[in-house]
Amino acid sequence: MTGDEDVSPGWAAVALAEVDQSTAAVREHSGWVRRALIAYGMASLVFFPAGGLVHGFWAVVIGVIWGVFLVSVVFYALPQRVLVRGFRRVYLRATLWWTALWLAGTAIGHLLFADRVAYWVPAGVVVALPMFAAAARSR
Amino acid sequence: MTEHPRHQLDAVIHSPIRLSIVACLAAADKAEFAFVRDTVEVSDSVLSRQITLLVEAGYVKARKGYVGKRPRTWLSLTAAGRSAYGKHLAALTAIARLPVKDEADV
Repeated sequence: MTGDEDVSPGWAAVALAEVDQSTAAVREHSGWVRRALIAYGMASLVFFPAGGLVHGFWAVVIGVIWGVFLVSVVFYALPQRVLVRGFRRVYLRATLWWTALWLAGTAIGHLLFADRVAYWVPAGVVVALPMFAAAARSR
Repeated sequence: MTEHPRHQLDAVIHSPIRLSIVACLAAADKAEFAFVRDTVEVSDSVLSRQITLLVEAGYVKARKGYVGKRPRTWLSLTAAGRSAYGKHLAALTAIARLPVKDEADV
């Protein structure tokens, strides 16, 4: 600072407004994160129960569709130009919870509630929750 | 007598373009060069020059990569950059809160 620049309250207010503008632009272009997490949660609502209730040939078909979905999410995320602050932490935490719930839910389901819709559908909602929570936090 | 908050302004971030760049990167974990260029509304060469200054100051990290066959440059703030930006923002906020009559004294 040379000391001869304009550092008046008015100047500072304009600078702060420009800061807000830049921050808003990042938030506006980070909506894809929320959309991807919601899609992940919605897919879990379908694929988790399907994994426990469908057998044989159709289980393989569902497995392939699940794989295609996961690859699609990756291809959707790759060309995005900005990653909002804190996303990595939120995503990592959500993925850890999601994986733990999926594995525990599957183990419990196959051991104690094989082919019971009354277990697999509500359990699918529980498995999807971390992704919906992460989507809500990414607003 | 307390020191005027202008002394807390960061000389590197003080430039309006660099402030916009840093503000953009502060809201992101990382952002692509082209995204920052479009957000700050400058040309590639102007942004490139400003990024070089910020990298030399240790405030910004630039990482080159590819998405498919397309080259991409990802920009992110370093811990030093985030800290300097926080202090600069605090100084700006303090200046903005000063009574308007102080303007003549500045």
